[in-house]
Amino acid sequence: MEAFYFFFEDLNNWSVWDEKGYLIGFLILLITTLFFTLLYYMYFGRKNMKYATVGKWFLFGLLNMIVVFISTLFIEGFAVFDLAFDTIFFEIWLFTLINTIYAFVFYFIFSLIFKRFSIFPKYIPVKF
Amino acid sequence: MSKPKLYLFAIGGTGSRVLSSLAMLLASGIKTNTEKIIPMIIDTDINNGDVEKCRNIIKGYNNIHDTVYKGISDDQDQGCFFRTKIMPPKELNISGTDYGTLRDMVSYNTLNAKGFKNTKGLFDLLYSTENKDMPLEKGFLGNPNVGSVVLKNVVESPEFKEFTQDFSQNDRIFVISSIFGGTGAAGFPLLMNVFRDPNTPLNNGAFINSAIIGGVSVLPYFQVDVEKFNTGESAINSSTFITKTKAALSYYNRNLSPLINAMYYVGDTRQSNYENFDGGIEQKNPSNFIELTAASSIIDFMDYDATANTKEDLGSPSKFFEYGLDTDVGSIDLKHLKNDGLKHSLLHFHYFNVYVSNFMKVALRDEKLAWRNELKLPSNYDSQNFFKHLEKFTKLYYYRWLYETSQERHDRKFLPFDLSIINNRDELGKDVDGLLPVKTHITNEKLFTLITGMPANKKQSFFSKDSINYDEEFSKLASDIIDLQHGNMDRDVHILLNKGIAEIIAKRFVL
Repeated sequence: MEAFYFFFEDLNNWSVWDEKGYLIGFLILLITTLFFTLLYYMYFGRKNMKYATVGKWFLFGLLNMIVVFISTLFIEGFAVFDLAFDTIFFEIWLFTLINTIYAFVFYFIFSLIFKRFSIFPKYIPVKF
Repeated sequence: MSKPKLYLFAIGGTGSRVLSSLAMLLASGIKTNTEKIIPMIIDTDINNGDVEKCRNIIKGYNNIHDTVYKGISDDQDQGCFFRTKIMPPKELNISGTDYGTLRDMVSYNTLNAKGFKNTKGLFDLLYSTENKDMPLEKGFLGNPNVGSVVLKNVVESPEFKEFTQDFSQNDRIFVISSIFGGTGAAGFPLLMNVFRDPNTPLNNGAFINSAIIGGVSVLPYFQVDVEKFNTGESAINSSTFITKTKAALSYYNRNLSPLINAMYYVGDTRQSNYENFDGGIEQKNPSNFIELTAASSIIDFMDYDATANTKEDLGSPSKFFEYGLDTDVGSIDLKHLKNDGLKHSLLHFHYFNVYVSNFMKVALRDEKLAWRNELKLPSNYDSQNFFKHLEKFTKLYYYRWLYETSQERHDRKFLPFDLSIINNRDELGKDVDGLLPVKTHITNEKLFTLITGMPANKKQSFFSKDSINYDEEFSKLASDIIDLQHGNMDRDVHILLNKGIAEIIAKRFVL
């Protein structure tokens, strides 16, 4: 997991990150993004054509990022490091930010995989 | 045995107008028990505006039919729009211009020769001086006695000979004519006598003689400006229509009843008012509901004793039909039509045309649209022939036909659809040549109220807004269409539109 988060380094709390911080962050990223991608393509993408626009797809990506951001921050801060909100240190904020950026990248990659299972947004975000 | 061909003789201006309405019915996908329809137009007035309009509509129809159904067997895609093949009309070339007047045609002056005194006397008894000197280039102007002589030449024309050569054993014949004019009233009995002559010298005479023959006789349904007749500007006097009709009906009853197998009569006491033209390019009468009913009689005739191949197979040698409405209303909508198949087809076809005219172009330009991409349509599909043909038929012929049947000049209008969607009604009224495309504007809300007195089902709540989304239906069906592997992109599009619209109608209307 450390390699996956190669942008991020916190030597002071290395063991905590190594033990569960990275893994929990990654699981949040994976589960939330999968949820939003499936929600977009398998539910809304088969139900109604009004969601089949790049704008709506982007909106779902944005929602995913917000949920990943909040979940990562709170779970890493409260559950992993057992901190109060005002004591969440800079590295956790940084990790949250990186996870949020990854969330959009994952959302894009998952979109390419799942778009074929939809009806209306089959050619969103890119046509191929 | 394969389905029969239908040879459709359309006589005079009314014949051509009924043929135009028939093209609209067939475009709507109404099922017909025929392999193809071969229209035979008989009109001495070769420049007649109605004939020209009919030619254009059938050409537009065939442009679409040929693109989609070429090489497809008869039983496939039945009920789809533009399904029945209509051959380009054969025009039985008896141009009145070639004959000049009746006097010229029969070489009247030669009757002065010795030995022709009685013939000349009989001729003078039957034909007035006006009859003899009437130019034949614009038809017979309500004089069937003149027409009965001139139209004899029809059977000598190469087109008629082609018809006799092509005629097969189980083919059928149908004759469209008006009873109150000149060309139709003269041509119908003449054709019947030729077809039923037991000693006929025609090619395939035995087949023609034993063929199942039907006819529709259109009784008076319009009147023309009498002022022009009184001032001598026109030779047509509509005040004589009823008298002529009575005389002709009496003749038909005595002489034609035994010859015809299915005879349809349509007419209307609520009449339309037309301008008075002596034929020619100016004669472009607007389409009328009566012409639609006459056209529906052709569809009915094809189903008449459908298993019978010859007149000998028929259960009853002759049957007579009339068209009636339950209520005498001035404005007819779909609810007034008794034929459910017709209702169904017109409803589907209207939604089809609305899509073609207002939504299809935008859809074809949407690069992310699922059905467009599933069908692998090129980015310039909206400028390719198939879409152009569809758009032309819709904007130039279909909406105009609806507009014409709904005009105020008809005492009985046909107004099945809300025509407030047409933006340029004033311009259309002035465009007698019919070259101006109809412009329409339709909002999403309007899609629910397109049918007069029959709103589409709407499931709307405070939280969700309902809309009729064509592209959504098409996108749901697109992959199924691809699976059919037609190998013809235009056919794929056409079948998708047919199926998609059928889904929309099934969800939104209870018929």
